[in-house]
Parts: sequence; C-alpha cells; structure tokens
Amino acid sequence: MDDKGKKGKKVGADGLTKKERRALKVETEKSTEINKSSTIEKLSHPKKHVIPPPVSDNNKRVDPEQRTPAKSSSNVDTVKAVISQNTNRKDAEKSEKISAASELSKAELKAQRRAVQEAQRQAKASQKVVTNDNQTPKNNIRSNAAEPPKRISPKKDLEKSPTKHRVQLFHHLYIEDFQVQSLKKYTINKDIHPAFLQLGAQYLSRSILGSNARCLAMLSALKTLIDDFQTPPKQEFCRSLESTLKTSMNHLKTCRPFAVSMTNALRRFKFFLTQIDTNLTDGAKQSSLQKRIDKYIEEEIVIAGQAISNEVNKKISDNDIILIYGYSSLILQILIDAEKAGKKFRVIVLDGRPLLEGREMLRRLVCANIECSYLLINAVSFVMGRVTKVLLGAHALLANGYVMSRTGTAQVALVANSFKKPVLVCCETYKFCERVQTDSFVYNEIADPDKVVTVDVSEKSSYLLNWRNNNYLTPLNLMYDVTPSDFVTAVVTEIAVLPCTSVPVILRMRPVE
Amino acid sequence: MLSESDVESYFLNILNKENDVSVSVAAIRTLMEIIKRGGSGTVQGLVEDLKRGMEITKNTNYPSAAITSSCELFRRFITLSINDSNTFAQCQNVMLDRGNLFLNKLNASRDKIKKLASQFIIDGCRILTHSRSRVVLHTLIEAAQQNKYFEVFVTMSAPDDSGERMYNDLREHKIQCTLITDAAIGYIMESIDFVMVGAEAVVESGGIVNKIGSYTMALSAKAMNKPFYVLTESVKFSRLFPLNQGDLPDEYKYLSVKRSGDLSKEHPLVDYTPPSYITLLFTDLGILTPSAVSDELIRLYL
Amino acid sequence: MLEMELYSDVIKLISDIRHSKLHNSYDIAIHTEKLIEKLISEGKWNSAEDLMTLIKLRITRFANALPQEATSVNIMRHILKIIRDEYDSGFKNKGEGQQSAHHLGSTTMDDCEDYSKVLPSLKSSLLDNLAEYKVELESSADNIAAQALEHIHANEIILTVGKSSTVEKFLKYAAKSRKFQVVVVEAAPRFLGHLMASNLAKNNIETTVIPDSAVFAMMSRVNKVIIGTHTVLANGGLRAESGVHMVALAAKHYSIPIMVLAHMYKLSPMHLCSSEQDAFNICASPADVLPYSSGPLLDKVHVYNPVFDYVPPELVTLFISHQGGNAPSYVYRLLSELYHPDDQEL
Repeated sequence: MDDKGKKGKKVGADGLTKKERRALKVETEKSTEINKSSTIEKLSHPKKHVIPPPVSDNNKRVDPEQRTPAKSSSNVDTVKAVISQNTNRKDAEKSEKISAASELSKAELKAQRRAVQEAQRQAKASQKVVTNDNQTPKNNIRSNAAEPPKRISPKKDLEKSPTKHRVQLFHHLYIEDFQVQSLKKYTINKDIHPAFLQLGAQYLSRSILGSNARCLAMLSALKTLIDDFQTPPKQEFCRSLESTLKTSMNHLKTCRPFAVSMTNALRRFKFFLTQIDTNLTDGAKQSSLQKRIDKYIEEEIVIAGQAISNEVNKKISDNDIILIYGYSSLILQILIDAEKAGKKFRVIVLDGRPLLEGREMLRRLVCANIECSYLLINAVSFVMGRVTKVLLGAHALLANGYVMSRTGTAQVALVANSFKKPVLVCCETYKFCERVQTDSFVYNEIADPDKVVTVDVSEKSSYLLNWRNNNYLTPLNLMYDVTPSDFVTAVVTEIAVLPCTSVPVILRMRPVE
Repeated sequence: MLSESDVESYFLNILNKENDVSVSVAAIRTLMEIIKRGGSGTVQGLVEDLKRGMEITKNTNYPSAAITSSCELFRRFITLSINDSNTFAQCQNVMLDRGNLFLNKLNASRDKIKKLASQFIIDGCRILTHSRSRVVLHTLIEAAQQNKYFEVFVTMSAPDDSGERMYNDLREHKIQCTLITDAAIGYIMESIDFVMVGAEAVVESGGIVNKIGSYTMALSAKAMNKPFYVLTESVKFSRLFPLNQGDLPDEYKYLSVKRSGDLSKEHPLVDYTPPSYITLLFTDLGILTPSAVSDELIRLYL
Repeated sequence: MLEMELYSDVIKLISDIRHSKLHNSYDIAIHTEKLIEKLISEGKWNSAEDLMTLIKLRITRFANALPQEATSVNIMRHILKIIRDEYDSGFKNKGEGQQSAHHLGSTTMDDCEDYSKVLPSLKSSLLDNLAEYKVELESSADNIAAQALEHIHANEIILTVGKSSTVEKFLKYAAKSRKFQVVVVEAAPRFLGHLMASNLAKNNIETTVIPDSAVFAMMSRVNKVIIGTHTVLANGGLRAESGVHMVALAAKHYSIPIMVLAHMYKLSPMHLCSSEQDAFNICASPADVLPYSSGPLLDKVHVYNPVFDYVPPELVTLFISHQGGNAPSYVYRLLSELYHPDDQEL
C-alpha cells in the first residue's frame, strides 16, 4: 500500500481517504458480526506495523517511540484487524453465552490490553519518528476507541519528564507534557482552516518572528478565513464565525503563546464583530469586516510606524552613532527613513544568541547603504563609550512602564544607562498592554534548548551536545526579558514622545473594547 | 633674630617676586630663613621660633590649608633627627641640610607627578579643570610637549577669577582651551572625558580640600560617570579628618582678616570633597586610590 | 644573535604562549617560575644587581612581545622583590629601617640603592625562597577552593561566566558538602561556558546554561556571582573576559555580591589609562562573530571581537586569594607587599 503520508493522496471532506472511509464502514459492520474474518484479507500488512497512537487535535503528549512510518490507512485497518482477530480467536467460545455487545466490550478490553503489549513490543523495535504531513489526517473517531491503551505507555515518560531537564524557576512556563515542540509532532485538526494550520506551523518552527510580523500574519490568515467562511445552515454569521475563530485561535495558542500585539488585534476584531450591522447580507458583512481589518492594519501598524519614524528622525543628527539590538521592523524603517532624509550616521548592531536576528537586520541595513558595525552582546561595554544614542524595539509595553522585549534588550539598556547614553524605545500604541510585570520570570516563553547548544561559527562543536544524557545539565533558552522603566529615557509612540511612566495614560486614551 | 614683621615681609616678598612659587614652598623657605638666622641660640628656642613663624605665615592673606600641612611636615622632618647631645651649631647645620633636602624633594615632586599624569592624557580627550593649579598646568604643558592633541575647559572660579589666569597660561603654551562659568559645570560634564584638579590639602579620609566649587564638580562628575583625578604633591597631606563641610577648620575656609568678624555671611574659600567622589590621586609617592592615602599619611607622619 | 641566546628562554616562553601551548594562567605561572629558577641556578651572574638586570631585561622583552599577558611579568616582578629582600636581610642593611617621615628625604638618597655587593649565600637562599614560592603557586588554587564553604551556603543559586579552572575547583569543593545550583553564562563567541557547564554537571552539580543575552533576566534570582579574572589592576578593577562588565552591572543593579577569585600573580600594578582601551584590550578574529559564510556582507561591515572587558572596582565586592578575602580598596596594599615600588613601572 502506498504511504498515506505522501502529498498526492486525495482527502475527502471529512478528512478521510477512500480507504479509511471504507475501513470505518467495515468496523461498524464488524461490531455486529464478530466472527467475520474476511476483513483480514483486505489488509496487506497485518501485525507488521505498530499500532499508531491516534492523536486528538489537542496535541496530547506523543511518545516518539510509538510513532510509525506513515502507513496510517493500513495501520488503521490493522488496529481493527488485530482487535477483531483477537476477539475472534480468544472469545469465540464465549460468543455463545454472552451477547455480541457485551462480548465486544470484554473482548475489546482484552484486545486493548493485547494491543498495548503489542504496541510496547513494537515500540522497542521501531526507531524513526513519523513525519506527519499536513495532509495526513488523523482520524478522530479512531482515537476514541484506542485512546485508553495509548495513554498507558506515554505515562512512563510523563513520570520522568516533569523534573528532568527543566529549570525549576521556569517550571510554570514549560508546556505540559512537552519538552520541546517541534514541527515533527505537528498535529492536524480537520476543523481548522488550512491558512491557520500553515500559520501555526510557521509559528512553531519560528519562521515568523517579531511581534508586528506575527500580528500581520495572523490578520491576513483571518482575512482568508472570513473570505472562505460559509455560514453553516441555521446559524448566525457572527456567532459561527466567532466559534470557528475560537478553535483556530486555540490551535495557534498551542503552537506558540500569543504575542501581545496579536491579543490586542484579536480583541479589536471581536469588537468589530459585535459592532457589525446585522441587517447586512453575509457577503456584505464579510467585506465590511475585511475593510475594518485593513483599516486597523493601516492605522495601527503602517501609519503609526511612519509617525514614529518622523518623531525619531528629529532626534537623529549628523555624526550620530546609533546602537541597536537584534531585529525590529520599526527600527529598520526608522533608520532607512533617516538615511533617505540624507542624514549621515553610523549604526552599531548588537546581536544575541541563539536567535541571531541581528544578522538579518545587518543585511537589510547594508542594502540600504547605511554604514554598520556588528558585534555580539558581550562586547556592549566595549562600544558603549562611543555611542551617542540607543534605539530599541519592543514586544510590548506594560502598564507599569516596563518594556518587554527580546532577551538581551534589558542588558543593553542597563549598560547604556551606566554610560549615561539616552535610550529610546520605539513602540506602536497597539502593543501596550494592561499587564504588569516586574521581572522576567512570571511571564515568558521557553524556546528550544538545543538552539543554545548548537554553535554555527566555530569549527569545533559545542561540549554540550550530549546534554540530554546528563540529568544535571539544562540549557535554557528564554525568548523575552523585561526592562525596568528607569533605564529608558523616552518611549516614542505615534501619539507622543513619552516618559516610560506615562504608559497608563495611553492605555486610558485608547478606545475601550 | 627675626621679628614678626620681618618674617611676614620675607614670606610675602617671595610670593610677590617669584611667579611660579607655590605657597608651601614660600612658607618652607621662610622657615629655612628663620633657622639660618639662628635666633635664641638654643634648639628649643629655634623650634619655638619655627612654630611662631608658621603662625605668622598662616595669618597672611593666602589660603592656609597648603601652608599648614607643608610646614607641619617640614618641621617634623627636620626635627626628627636632632640629638640632644649635639651642639646648637651642629643641630642647625643638620636642620639646614635636611631642610634643603626637603625643598629639593619638593621641587622634584612636580616632575614625578607630571610623568604619571600625562600618561592618562590621550589624543582627542577633553579635560575639565577647576581654578588655577600649578601642578595641573605643568602636567598639561608636559602633555602638549609630547605632541598630544587635547582640549581643556577651565572654570572661571569666582570670587578671585583665578581660572582666567590659568586660561591665559594655557593659551601661552598654545593649548586649546575654553573658559566656562562655574554654573556651566553640569552642562559641560556630559561631553568631557575626565576631570583633573589640584588640591590644597589631602585629608586623612582620602578626600581633598580645594578651591570652592571642586565639590560641585566632583558631584557632577560622579553623576555622569566621569573619572575625577587629583594631582597633588605629598607635602599637602594633612592629618585632618573633616566629617562634612561644616567640620572644616575656619582657618582653612576664610582669610585671616575676615576671621575676626562675623563668619556666617562670609563666603568660604575652600570646600571638602569626600573620597567616594575621587577616582585616583596622582602624587610623587605614586598613583594612589583614596583608600591608600591613609596608609601613606600614617607612614609620612610617624 | 647574541641577544637571542641571551633571551632564548623568554623567547621560548613567548612563543609557547602565542601558539596556545600554555592555556591557563596557572601553566604560564609555573613555567615562568621554572624559567627564573633555571636562570638563578645556571645563569651567569655575580651580584644581586647583575641578576636583577637580567630579570629586568626579560621583563621588558616579554612586555614588549605580549603586553596583555601580565602573569609572567608579575611573577618576575615578585621574584625581583624576593631578591631585594634576601639581599637586604643578608646584609642587615637597613638598621633604622623606617620607611617613615624619612620617606620624603630618604627616597632621594636611596633611589639607586646599591645591590652590587656580592653576597655568597644569595644563590642558595634565593633558590630556597623560590622553592617555597613554587609550592605557594601550586597550592594556590587549592587554598582558594578550601575557602569555598565560607562563601557558599545551601540552596544557593550561583552565577558564573565562561570557564575558570579556579572557579571550577571552588565550586566542586563546595559541592562535596553543600547542595546548590549553578547558572553558567555561555560567554560567546568562545563558548567556554559550555565546557564549564559540562564539567560541573559531571560532578553532579545542577547546572543551567544560558546565553549572554539572558543574564539580566536571570540575575534577580541569583544569590551570588563568582567569577575568575585575567588580571587585577592597581585600582582594584579587573581586566576580565568580555561580557563580565555587563554581568557586574546587572549584579550591582540587584545588589548581588560579586566575588572574584584571583591568584596573587594576577595582581598587576597597571592602571587603566584611557576609556579607549588602546593598550588594554585586544581583538580576536571577527570570524567568530560573523562567519565567512555571510558572504558579500563581510566587506561592507566592521566586525569586532574584543577579548577583554574593564570592570571598575566599585562593582567588585570581594577578592578571594589564597590568603583570604580582601576588599578592592585594599589591593594597593597587596601590591606594595608583592612588588617593590621601583619595579612597578617596568
């Protein structure tokens, strides 16, 4: 049988291939006729494959050792075959005395136990982790029947993993049942629009980074969703859109926690939904929503960016040496605009591992013909004496005036403060949030620890490559940190240039949602 | 036998006639003169004369901080090696020899300081200094002679505007300099590299007593994270330990003529800069951190 | 050629350091000590002055070749002091012996102190002294480690930067009887932090490795910062690995004590003359920062990879040497005990 995992296979409306649907039908027939063994002939590889762990759309912990090469259709059939085989063989005697239904239940239990043993045996044999494509559907119906046995074996690992390789201070941030989320274990839910599935995969693999980028990607996926949305019969457009939206958003949250910009944008969108005129046709509603999204993007991101750029450009003078850290789309825009306005300045780009986003920033600045220098963050005290200004981007501004940004920003601000250099944080108002935080522990994101260990520049590899073997060793890869407000000289927003302490004023001024 | 007025006139004579002589040197030379003239013929008498001579020089209209410390050190130095068994003439000769030694050492100390401090002046640096200090002037001249390019900012330093004299001296030696008002210290501080001042006295805590306005400059330098360097000879080390500005002795703060009157409305001449604001002291004993000063002081005075 | 013969031992030492055959400052120290020992036992000298001249020439040669490598020069300076002391005690010269008020006058007289008298027992007493000094050097790391229990208590989180064999020994010693956690900053671009972390973890110490950018984020939960250093300057400041200054600033912000483990031979009478750090710092290969694979970007961009960092004395809480703990303000005293003032400007 062909690999289900190959992209060429046709998938029907309910997410099943022909074979699976047939198998489903067969199973329902079998439940009434236990003794039919003809189904065995339909299967080509009985017992040769590990029973796949059907994964529900909630990303349950999946034991890698239990994954199989993707031959899911045959596997699916195999499950049923095994169950039916076992029931056939072992319980044939009992079939006279007990009714079919009860037989099945008892037999099912036994079969499930046998299936578990089989699975565990197979688990030791198999090695490779399945690469599950987007197109490989997981049968939800299957999952209900076979879930109990599958839960027993993953428990073994669950008991080990909570304390192993976790930094206690960040215990609350590690995602339950997962140590590392990887694209390899990406699960597909047939209820979610492919645009969101794609977005989720991009978030998961960190191919979209940066709060503006993530927000824009989400809004564009949202627009696609609205476009493709068909109101189910007997349901109201807004309500059903909201519920679909909810499932999609939950899916995205499981891939990667939301950025503040995304949360705010989503909240505004939900507000739009409530405001929409119910007398319009569905089509009109759709186009109205799309227009409002476009307007939001235009106002809050594009025009805000231009306004901020204008403000900051007034502060950039000739012969300035500007220090920046990592990648920020807004800062990039500001510097390019300043260059176009004819100012003569130099930029020092600081970069931090393991993301090394500064290299991308460097590339773009060089393309814009700006004179640049590049250093890693450990050299910050070396350069800070020469710097005239520091420009930093932000992920979010918290209500107590603290700045949440990429890890390393707080340090740059700290050193700049000690050298008495002005620090400007540029942030659009839509990223302001009511949360308060005083340190970087309470709310943060833990990323892939392997990234800390991989070294791309030197010839020798890191000494830590075998860190998983040692229980005492844990690399930690934090995504964000929080800069106290006393390190920041000014925050530049599209409304005004503010001191860091005036953030709640802006929050008060924004439209209530 | 020198009368009081003679002592005074001798002292003032030196200061008026010779331009580049510091107050301490003039005082010491006056004391040497007292020894030379002999006087009462006994060692005890001579010591008494010296004491009185010191009082007289302190009572002139020159800042007495430097005079006090240098005379005290001088006196201790020359009287230390006196044996009771020697005759008066012998004692006198011993005292004169040691006195000359002391004076030579004093004259050489400025050169030592020049060498040490000019290393810290590099091309393109901007220096802020306060009022007029001979040591700082010589150091800057030395650095200029080493062909270094640097810029100097001098404060006017009211009420006697001695900063202006410094400015003129610097201009004579073709050094780039700017005269600023005392009030502009905070404004200029962010654009300079370090501060270099002299001192009238170095106290036990490691702090300094210097022309009024030095404390403000040190505060400002600390706030802006700029190094604050003090250039001074070791004769200025004094055994005082002021706790705050009010704890400085009156004779340091006010001229003798004013001391008799009401002091509450008088402007003090000097202020005290605590050691936490000072980065390094350049002396002829080497480059010292403020905490090392106390160590050196004890060694000097014991 | 004659010169080459004269200094061949120093030249070999310099080339060994340059070719990274001697990694640690400890190795360099031991080698230097051996070199001088050999010079004393086999060299051609008669009086203390001759010997001192020989050593001074080597110091100059070394300092010219490797200005940043202070360990060797410091040891040679200290040996000069040992020679002076031996000479003085041999002749019982300074009967009055006060470095006192005579200080002002005496230094002019005794500036060119006469070391040229021949002292027959000098060689043997010097070699004895040097043997003692060698033992001191060898046990220095262990002595520092033995103080670990005074400074580390249970359930602490300790932060360290990069790799220092002294700190490693210190932590391992404490781990024998106390349970604590260590956070190691990886110290890119040399990544010595990785090696340190794996060594510590092998000794069953709970270790977390963080990239340099996460220091401020972690710092609020750290209890102590324990670091090694390359050199200790005369004002109590440090010349340490790049990145240590920002760690020190973060620790200062949260009022966390910083302990610097420093052997005596790391104390140098040098001052930081300028903020430009011309003679202070060196830059390593920029390829470690921006790899050659970045292509055409490389010739349009200036890339720097400084090796050292200056840490001012007010950020350091304590220096721990084999004799015990000292405040940074006391360094001047340690210096005056280690080196003679005349040797300090070589």
